[in-house]
Amino acid sequence: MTSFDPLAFRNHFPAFAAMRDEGRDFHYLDSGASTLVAAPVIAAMADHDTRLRANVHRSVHYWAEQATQAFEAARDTLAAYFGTPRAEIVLTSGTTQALNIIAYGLSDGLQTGDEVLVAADNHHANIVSWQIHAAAKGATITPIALTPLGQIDEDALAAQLTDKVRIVALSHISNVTGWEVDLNKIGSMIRAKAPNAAIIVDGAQSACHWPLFETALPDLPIDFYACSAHKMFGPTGVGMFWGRSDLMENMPPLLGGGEMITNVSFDGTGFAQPPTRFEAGTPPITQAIGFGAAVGFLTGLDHRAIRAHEVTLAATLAATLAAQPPLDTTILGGADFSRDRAPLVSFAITGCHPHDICQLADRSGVAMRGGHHCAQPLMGHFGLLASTRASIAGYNTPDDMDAAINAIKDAINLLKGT
Amino acid sequence: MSSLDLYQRDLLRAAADASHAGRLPRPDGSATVNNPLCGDKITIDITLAPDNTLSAYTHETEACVLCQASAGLIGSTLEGATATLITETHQAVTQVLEQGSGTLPTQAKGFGIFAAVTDHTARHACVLMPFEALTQAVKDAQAKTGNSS
Repeated sequence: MTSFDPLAFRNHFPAFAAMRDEGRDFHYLDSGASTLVAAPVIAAMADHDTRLRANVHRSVHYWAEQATQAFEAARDTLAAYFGTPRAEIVLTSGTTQALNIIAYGLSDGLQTGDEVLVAADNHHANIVSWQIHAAAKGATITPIALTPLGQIDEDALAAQLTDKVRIVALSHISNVTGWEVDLNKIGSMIRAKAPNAAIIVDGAQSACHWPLFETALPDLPIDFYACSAHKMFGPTGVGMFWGRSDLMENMPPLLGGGEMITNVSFDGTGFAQPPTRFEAGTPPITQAIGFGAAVGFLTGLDHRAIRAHEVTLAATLAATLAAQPPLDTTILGGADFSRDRAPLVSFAITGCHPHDICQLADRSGVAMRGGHHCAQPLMGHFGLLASTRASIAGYNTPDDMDAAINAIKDAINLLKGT
Repeated sequence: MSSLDLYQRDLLRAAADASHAGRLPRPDGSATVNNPLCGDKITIDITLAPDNTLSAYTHETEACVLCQASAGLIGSTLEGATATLITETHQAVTQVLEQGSGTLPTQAKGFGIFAAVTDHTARHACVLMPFEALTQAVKDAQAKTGNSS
């Protein structure tokens, strides 16, 4: 038992009152795709757009000054949350853009014969970006093998690490299985055996509870970390990456435009120092301010208690599904949530397609995701095309798990009763 | 429109119809289409008669009920159809999905069950995937047989 009260936590999220007012059943189990938005985030964005709407880093009037200060304050909040220098925080449109900026920038130094190792449990964003940018330089893209449970096969990885490896792309927490990579352990192994490799981490599923890891990003044996606000109780359309200054200084920008230059002429254009170099054009200002508010909200939470609550729910759901032989259910990554695992319960039920399960569960107000979760190599590892995923956040309750289980059973009865 | 309306008996029956499931041993044309949203996959084999009508059709489907039902209905209603009728049916089903109603060819009235999918725009691709595969398979067959009349 923990002291965490999910019903009290719900009061931070206006969506629950709104759904109650609409008389709509609401069991939101899709936080792995997008969390609900916290009230302070909505308030901060509304306040900015109401009172201080202006572009940043340009005009000198009061509102522009205020907007710039709020935008840069968001960067400060992110830097404090992740324990980084503020100049190493680059604001982006999300994790995908962040990973593409990193892949483009680091690929500039690649050549034929170089190797890029990509963990097979990655989201497509941390696979395709390397296929596009690194492969264009002649580098070889090689998957890192997985264990039957979908975790990185450390022995296989150790055998792949040589001085030809220039990039290793990891997912901190799988968006399908919830398995967490021990960045200290894996990063240290990579540093020891592949000293020329930069280590890039997709943190989309871990950033929301970053304080759990009790470390600052620069203290980990990694080089880049990317995440999105919309999985952290914040808005869509904004994310960030942290990168080591010495590496970022040598990276060309993916996008050209306003603000990211020192001077422009037809004789040659100079690029600004990071982070500005990677923030071309008008940034997502309102969203960045909301991102700062979201991280400010996260900073005040008891993450250990929330994670214990979330994992208890995930374990209950997984065990209940796995324990019902008529369902013939496979829990991707296994049903053990006792350690190193985020509350993502992905499952496959023989003879029932995930889209049909999700569509039918929707009539009970149960919101889950069906599909390949942008992780087709991992789906292939499990011999599946798709799975159903219930992803859990602090605002979920045992009642949500009961609703999900009942909805899944009802869906199966209908789909298999024909 | 609720999800319950979506999964009506006729649709489930069409999805369970396995009479055209599998692969043809010597198809004139084949095509595989994937749904980029969920990874679903359908492979369609066909043969064309000398008059360019669909003389045989099979589908191998790893997909949801909607896609299976659509693939099954194609088999039960469009075998023997001309390429023109296939195109007309494809267009009419698209219209049914987008507008909730449409004028389906007489032979293809069964596709009216997909009117229930109209409000579920994310699922339109599930219904249309077999048509896209069939269209590609017909083109493949016409290219191989040299008969595109």
